[in-house]
Amino acid sequence: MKNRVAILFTVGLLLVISYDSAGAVQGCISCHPKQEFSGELIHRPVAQDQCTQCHNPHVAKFKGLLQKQGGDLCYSCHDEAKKAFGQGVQHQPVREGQCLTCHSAHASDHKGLLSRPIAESCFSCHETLAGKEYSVRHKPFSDGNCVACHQPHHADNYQLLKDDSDKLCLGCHSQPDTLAGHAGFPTKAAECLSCHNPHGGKSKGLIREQIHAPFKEGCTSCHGKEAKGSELCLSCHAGVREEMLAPHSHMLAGDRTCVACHSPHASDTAGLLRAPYEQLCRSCHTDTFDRNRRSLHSHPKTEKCTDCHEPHGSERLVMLNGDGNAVCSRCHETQGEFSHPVGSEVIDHRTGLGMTCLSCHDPMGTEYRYHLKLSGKKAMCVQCHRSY
Amino acid sequence: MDTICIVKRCSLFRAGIVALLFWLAMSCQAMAASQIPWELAFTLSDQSLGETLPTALYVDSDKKRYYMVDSGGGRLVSFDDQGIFLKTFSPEDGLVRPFDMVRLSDSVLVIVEKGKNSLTTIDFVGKETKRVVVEDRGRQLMVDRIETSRGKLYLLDRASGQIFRLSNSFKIEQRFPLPENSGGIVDFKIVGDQIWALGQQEKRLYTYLENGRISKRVDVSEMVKFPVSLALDSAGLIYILDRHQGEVVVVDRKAKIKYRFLAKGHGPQNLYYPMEIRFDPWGGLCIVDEGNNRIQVFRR
Repeated sequence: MKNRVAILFTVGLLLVISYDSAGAVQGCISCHPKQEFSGELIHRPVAQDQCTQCHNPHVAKFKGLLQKQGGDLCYSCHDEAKKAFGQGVQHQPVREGQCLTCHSAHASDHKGLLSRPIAESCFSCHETLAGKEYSVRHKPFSDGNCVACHQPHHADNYQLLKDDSDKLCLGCHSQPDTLAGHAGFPTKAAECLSCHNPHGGKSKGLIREQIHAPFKEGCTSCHGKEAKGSELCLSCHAGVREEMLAPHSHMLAGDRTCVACHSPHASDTAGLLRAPYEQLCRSCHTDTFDRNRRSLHSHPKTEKCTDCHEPHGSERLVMLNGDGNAVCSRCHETQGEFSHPVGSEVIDHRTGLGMTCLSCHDPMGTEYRYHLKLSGKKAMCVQCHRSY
Repeated sequence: MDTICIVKRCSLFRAGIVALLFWLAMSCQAMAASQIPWELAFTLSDQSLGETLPTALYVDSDKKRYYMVDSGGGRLVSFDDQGIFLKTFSPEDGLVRPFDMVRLSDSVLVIVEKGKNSLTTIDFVGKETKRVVVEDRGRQLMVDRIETSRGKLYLLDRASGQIFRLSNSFKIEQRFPLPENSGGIVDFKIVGDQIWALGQQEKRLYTYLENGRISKRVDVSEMVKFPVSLALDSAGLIYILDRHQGEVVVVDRKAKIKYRFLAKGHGPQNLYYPMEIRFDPWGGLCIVDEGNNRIQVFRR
């Protein structure tokens, strides 16, 4: 008797569930015609009329009546992707769980349910690269085949490269062919990106625009010398050596010497930098960039980190390139005149140091308005003004 | 009537559950707080000093003195063992960006003078100041942190990221090579026969034997953001100073976290871009706090 009741209950439950599901889908389609979700590729839940897999037909916390938000929703099915994406360098939309930046949720005419062709998708964020007018373009770049070299989600290599940069280059440009074009090159072709721009350039060979003077003179200007690493660079750049002899410096050791930031051969920037400032600085200061991204309030982006910070060495806190007032008042010209008194005569009693903008503000990001270190309503002020 | 009773009982039950959860949460918080055995004993600073840039602390157990290296002021500042300011000192020709110091013998101080890239010795008996630029096979070392052990001077070279043991005449006697894939050592402390070193970029601790071999690697990358200094207590716990987080992370020798304490800010229990951590000979934990212009001494 008990078994029969159990069977009847289970069957009844299944009927209710299936009725509810089918009813829900029919309900969806009555207002949202299926034709709206057409394309060469259709996301499986859409194809199987499983609208409720992502949406709640009645009420939901998230826009679009979604059951969950962003990546959390996608990863509820694509759980293996979540595990894989957590390793190595992550593409920003992946890190932020913004799958729909590139993908369509319902249907698409493009492989991988991309919402548009891959290059269009990439250039919609990487606008600077899209606007570059190269006389000569590297074929994959010209074809809009960004994924020929880059991984869209995550990679073990810098700049989301699919492999070590040299291996990638030599995968198409074979070593014998490459050597033929490098007469007098002392070793096997290597460090390709230190001379060539992988996207394009002004001349055949895609050589970068700024050439390091000793490189012009010949390889032996540097190679084969007794001095190695940073010592070699600083033997010419004496001014930088002086800067590095500061209490705070970016002097790195091992494989990460000057060439961690600068190309010894050629570059597209005057300082022979290997990449734009933000990318370069982020490669070590990940935590600072993460804090900046996660904070509710932070300073608007500046053109480059060196607008405020010294790149080589400094006697000042956080390697600022001026005191805590001078750096800010370069842009905020009126500060210090009608704002809270600042300067060496106005002592911050917490530290015994002169008040600066940075006594109260943390431009890299905080949870408080005007990127104050504490709430500006009271908590910040009563640190010093205790009688208030 | 029965319904009202049931509703009342349910409300009481819910209130009981909430109270129990609250009590549990408070107990956990109290337990966590009681795990932290450190209390602020005193602060090494003095209004008369004005603006300083403290970069290091040396503690002289014989003379019962704390010495702050004030890089900004180009001077050494001494305090007694109760934290009372005594005096400031710099040689006649001044110090250019002093960074670290040790006492090598009764009468000789060794100071890292970054501005001159020298090891500067001050002999109080001979009343003599000497500056030595240390070289390794013709290459100038970029002097950074120094320590002493059994009368020997150990030096961190910022350019190569390596530690060196020097002879009495400041010649290289032993090198402690840079570990593979390391961005360089940023701080080290000597405990018994071992050197404990901190690799900042890779967030890893290394122990070196006297012969220069690495005997242990401890990965702390999951626990710290920007480690800048380390210290070890007599129980074998490792204290890692996180400059960006403004906190101290305490781990055992297997990198199992024991507790964290202090936080970023400007209050008494706060750090703001601290530079160095070390134990004094009396068991006090000393933290050189650059952003707050002070050195704090914590005791159990």
